[in-house]
Amino acid sequence: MKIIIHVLLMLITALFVCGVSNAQEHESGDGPAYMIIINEANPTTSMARSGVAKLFLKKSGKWGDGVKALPVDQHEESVIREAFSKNVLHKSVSSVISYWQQQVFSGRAIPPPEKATDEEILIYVKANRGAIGYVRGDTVAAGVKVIDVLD
Amino acid sequence: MANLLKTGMLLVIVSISSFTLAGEPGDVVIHGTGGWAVGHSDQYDYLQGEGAGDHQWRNVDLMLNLYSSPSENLRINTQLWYEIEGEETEAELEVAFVEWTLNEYLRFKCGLSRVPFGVYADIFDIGTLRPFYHLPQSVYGSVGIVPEGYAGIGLWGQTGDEWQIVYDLYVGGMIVPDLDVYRMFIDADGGDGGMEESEELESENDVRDIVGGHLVISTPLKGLSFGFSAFSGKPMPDEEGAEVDAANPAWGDHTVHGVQLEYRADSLMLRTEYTFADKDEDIKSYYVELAYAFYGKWQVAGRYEAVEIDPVAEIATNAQSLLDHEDRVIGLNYWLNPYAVIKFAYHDIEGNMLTHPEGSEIMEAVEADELDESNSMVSLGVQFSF
Repeated sequence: MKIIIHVLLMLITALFVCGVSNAQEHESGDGPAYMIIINEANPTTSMARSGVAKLFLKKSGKWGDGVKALPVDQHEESVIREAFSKNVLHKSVSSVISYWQQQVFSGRAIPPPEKATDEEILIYVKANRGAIGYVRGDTVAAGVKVIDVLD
Repeated sequence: MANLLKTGMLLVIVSISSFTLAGEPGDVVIHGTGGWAVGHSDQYDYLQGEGAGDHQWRNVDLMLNLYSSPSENLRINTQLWYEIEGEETEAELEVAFVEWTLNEYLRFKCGLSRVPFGVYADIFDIGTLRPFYHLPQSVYGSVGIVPEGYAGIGLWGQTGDEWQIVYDLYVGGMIVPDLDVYRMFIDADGGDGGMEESEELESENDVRDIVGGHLVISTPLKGLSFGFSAFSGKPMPDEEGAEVDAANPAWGDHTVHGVQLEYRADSLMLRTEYTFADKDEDIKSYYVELAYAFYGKWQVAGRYEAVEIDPVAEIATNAQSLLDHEDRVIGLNYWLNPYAVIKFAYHDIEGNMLTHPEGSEIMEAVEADELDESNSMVSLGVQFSF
């Protein structure tokens, strides 16, 4: 019993030291600017922040005209996603991941597809009438519509 | 059955030439969760902790979730679960349902689904969504409160803005765990004699014609929600061919109610539940669970849980501790990322309802008045989801 406790204490101490150093490495400031984009055929010009959040968390599944909403996310390491999650979803990226784990395993819903680059997001939004995504603020958003988000 | 499930799962996986973790319409989406743990108990077996100085290292489980949406309003969900415990391997089909969405307020599902009850019943196996390796046994263990799934028809939906509501209603049948250990010591005369030996210390009840519901209300205060759960059905007799005697209270409806409160912020998490089961005996169970994350990857957690049973009859004086269970747990977790966590926990247990000698040794211990009511257990494990 003593041996096990000693091993566990050593393991916990090692992990603690490792965790403190990792936590310091991952501290970052505010994320870069981003813009929210939809398909050009979508008549929407502006949305409330809570409305955008409901689409991305799949609490609402359709646009006002009945078209199925198809949110598309940036990949998890993206600084854009960090800023979007914080400002629009009011959650950290890890909280959003936990939210989707809960939705998936309880059989409620699955997360939106993730794309690795802004270009892939643009292609997805252009190709899908109900799509909504977000890209870096200085991206040339040709062929998609940028909407205003009202807080 | 186990071999059939294994083969079926392999076929499913092999047949999926490409799968994703986040899907577009038509994709087959695969997710999974699992864990491994080892424990040490200083007295009797409890969860992963084995008494008598033994350590069972072969404690592994894995659950695979397959999801597909063949059309806009139709989706199919299955979950297959495997567990290795010592020399035994168990496989089970836990979820297999079809869901049709009318709109976000109204969705119908048919098949085998998770029971929407309390905080954890529909995320039973997901270690990355809780602070301890094990769920609170008072509510989610073998005590006999909450089953893992129901087979039948359900509907659910969500609505609201500032105040958000998620509801579930269902009818069907379920297998509910039952704890028989104290019944070995029922004495019809109310004295100390009359012990009957039984090898089955835990069993299951087939409960049919279930009607149940779950309501969770999220408040405008971010992360704060509360809810109510209930189901009621008719238990079937254990023995094949035995007839249900409606006049016997033991054959009365099996009814369970629960209330829940949850607060979840990025660093702080508080969960508490109180459940009341009205079956052949009355069972009250409750727990309070608190967890706090710091330095990004570390998390400390504490939990208190208890069960109170009002037995169907008097039981032997020496066996009274079989009616009690209290567990005080503290834990320390290290999150590698949101998908994997290493968990250490220390349990301080009072009462012998869930931790006691096995087999015939329990009879000997009670007869000799040697049941030790205090037990402690440490466990170390890792849990993951993808």
